[in-house]
Amino acid sequence: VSEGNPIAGGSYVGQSVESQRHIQDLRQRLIERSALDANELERRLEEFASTGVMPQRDLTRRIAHRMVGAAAILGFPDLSAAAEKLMNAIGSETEAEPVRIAYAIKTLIEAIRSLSP
Amino acid sequence: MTNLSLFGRTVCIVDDDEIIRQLMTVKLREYGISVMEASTGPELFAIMGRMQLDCILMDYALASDNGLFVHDQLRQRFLNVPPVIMLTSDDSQRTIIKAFRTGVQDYLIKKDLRIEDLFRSIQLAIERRDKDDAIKAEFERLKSHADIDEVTGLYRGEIVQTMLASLATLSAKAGKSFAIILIQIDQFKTVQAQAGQVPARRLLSVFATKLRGAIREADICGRGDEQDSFIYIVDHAVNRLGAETTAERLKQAVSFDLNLDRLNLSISADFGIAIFPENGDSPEALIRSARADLGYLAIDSATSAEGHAPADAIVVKTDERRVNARKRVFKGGKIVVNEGRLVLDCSVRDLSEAGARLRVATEFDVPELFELRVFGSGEGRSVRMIWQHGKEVGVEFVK
Repeated sequence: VSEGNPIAGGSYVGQSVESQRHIQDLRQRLIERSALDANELERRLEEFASTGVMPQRDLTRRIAHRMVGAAAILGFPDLSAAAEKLMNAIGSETEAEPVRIAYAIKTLIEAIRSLSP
Repeated sequence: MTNLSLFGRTVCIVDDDEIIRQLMTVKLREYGISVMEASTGPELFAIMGRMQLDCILMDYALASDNGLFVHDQLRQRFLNVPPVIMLTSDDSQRTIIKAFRTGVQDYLIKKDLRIEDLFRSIQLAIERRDKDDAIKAEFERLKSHADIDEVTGLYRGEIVQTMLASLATLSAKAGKSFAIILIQIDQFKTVQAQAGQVPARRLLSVFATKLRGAIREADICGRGDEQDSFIYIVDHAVNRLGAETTAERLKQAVSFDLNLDRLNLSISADFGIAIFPENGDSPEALIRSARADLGYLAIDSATSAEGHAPADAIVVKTDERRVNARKRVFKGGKIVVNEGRLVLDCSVRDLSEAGARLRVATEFDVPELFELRVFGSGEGRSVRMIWQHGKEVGVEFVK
């Protein structure tokens, strides 16, 4: 079910059953991949909590960037928005940046986990 | 809106996210589009090496490369690069502007993407490309069918006129520009009058040989509407500056010394530029406009920027060497008359320690003494006008 972007939206006249099935598969794969990303992000949050240093900011940004596009295009607008917030939090170059990142990671993890049954 | 069918067209999606690639593939195949997938620049290059693509959908932030860098590499490696549409999550204005500057056809944001928008963007990009290809094909066809003038080895004047008419029609339809450069041998008529037909014909032939050596493969050059003129068509230099660069290059090629029946001549040419459609929308209007522009580059290779060569005299080569090296420049400047009571724009084309060659925007009688201010060169300098030929002015610095 998709209330999100029409590119992966519901079926329409002319769309083959095979296409619909393929898109559903891709949506499922995105959910699974995001769940793995959530585990990875959670480890970074834990490291941040224990050391006070946010590890691997570039890789975190890459995960977020990849999720912004894929989630939007596959009809998960809330997930895309949460990933975008994380992307924007990284590189704000303020003293509060690590705290912002941590908060954005937490929000994103929640958004990812809300997709899983 | 375009009705172009994309059935059977080939589009390559370049994205490091396999999920995105597969989704695009599924959606585009519903429209009968054949889809190729690449996750990196090198994978795209490999595909380009073995097949012709109609369009490329390129992610901006690839894992290993930046999409714009890959686009740049494409243009360096391949002659016929298909239109590129950026398809990305990056919606920063800076990136979008940068992308359009590098020549991408469209920029689509993934999070706002609708399949109709993507489809329309691909349609427009391919349609634009098809029109360009049609113009190129017609250009090539005309080139291959043209008759060659036996004296110069260049296209006959009638053929050039036909090509111009055809190019004007096609370019008008496609909303494209092209430039013509009218080239006129400086001393041909004088040689003809004073030395006779045979030396004049030889001059024409030698001049054309030099010109032929400077013609780029993509351009067309042939005889003009007068015996001593040639027309050079540049279908990819769409602005005046690009055409001027070509004219400068041609001028260097056709400035040479020639011995004709004991006459040692320094040969050069006048150049005039016209841009379609700004300066004319028909061959006649363009040639008229280019003729009116003749002289903008006028300076004989045997005369310094400061010296004047009468237009109706044969310039005989001497062994004199220029005392001050002349540097080709293209700078903005001001002609300041009467302590600033009158200020006029000009461009500075040649500059030496002794003087300069200027070009004024409109033809007027330049006063004998005035102040020249060259942008970026500090204070103005007093100069004396040595010669004037239309909009071209030679000046010497006054100490």
